[in-house]
Amino acid sequence: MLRACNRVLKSGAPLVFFVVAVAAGLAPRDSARAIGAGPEYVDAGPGYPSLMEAAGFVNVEVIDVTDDYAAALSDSIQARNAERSQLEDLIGVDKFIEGQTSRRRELAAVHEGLLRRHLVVALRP
Amino acid sequence: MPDHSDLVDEFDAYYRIIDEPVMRRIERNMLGSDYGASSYTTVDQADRLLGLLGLAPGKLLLDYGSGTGWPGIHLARSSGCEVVLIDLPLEGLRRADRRRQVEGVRGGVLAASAALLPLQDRVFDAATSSDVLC
Repeated sequence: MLRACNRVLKSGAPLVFFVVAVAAGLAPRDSARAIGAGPEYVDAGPGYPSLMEAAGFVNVEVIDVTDDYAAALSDSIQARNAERSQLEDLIGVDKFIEGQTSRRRELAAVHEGLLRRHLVVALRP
Repeated sequence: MPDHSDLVDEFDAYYRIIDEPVMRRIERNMLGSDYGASSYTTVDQADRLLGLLGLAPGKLLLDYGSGTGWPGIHLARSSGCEVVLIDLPLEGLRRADRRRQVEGVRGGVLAASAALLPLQDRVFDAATSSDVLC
């Protein structure tokens, strides 16, 4: 994906994206917990900026935005609790409980330092 | 290339209910947006992207894994640039294209894998995504 982006960008063009990733340096057991608690698309790769540089980008900057990620997750849980009866009518009781349990597990993993969210900024040379 | 068909089906199912008023209220409380977003990108974070991407009229932005167009359409509308939105779930792309037209944003949508990007080389002035598997 990153190499494909590099190919379609003009010289000097920026690539800027948000990504949820497993925290660096975790023990295998904690890494597995992070993957299990994170969204399906959580990135568990070798991490940035090496991944970006391997794809041909330069001036790679990785900005931690985990606090905002935790706030958004917490807001999502609270907003869904406030709308519980309407959501249960829409998606069903089981799906509502399953979703909220999953979000709480994800938020707990963030608070434990297992999951991070990054803003990655880079340039195509 | 990995098979993400289950994930595509899951997102399509989500996009089919995002127009419900309760879903819009939740999104506004969580992110401040009303696009049917499936990422964690808030309005403040989207506005932060504007400066980092250097967008302006005449520029062409790529939003890969665009879902329903958040934040790509917002970025294009705010900056005056054009946007190409790429994703696999068709339900999200249909909504994204409708929203793009409602907002008067130039550009289009393409059903394709971001891993392949069936597009010409060196045509985009900037690219972005939110919470997409890299």
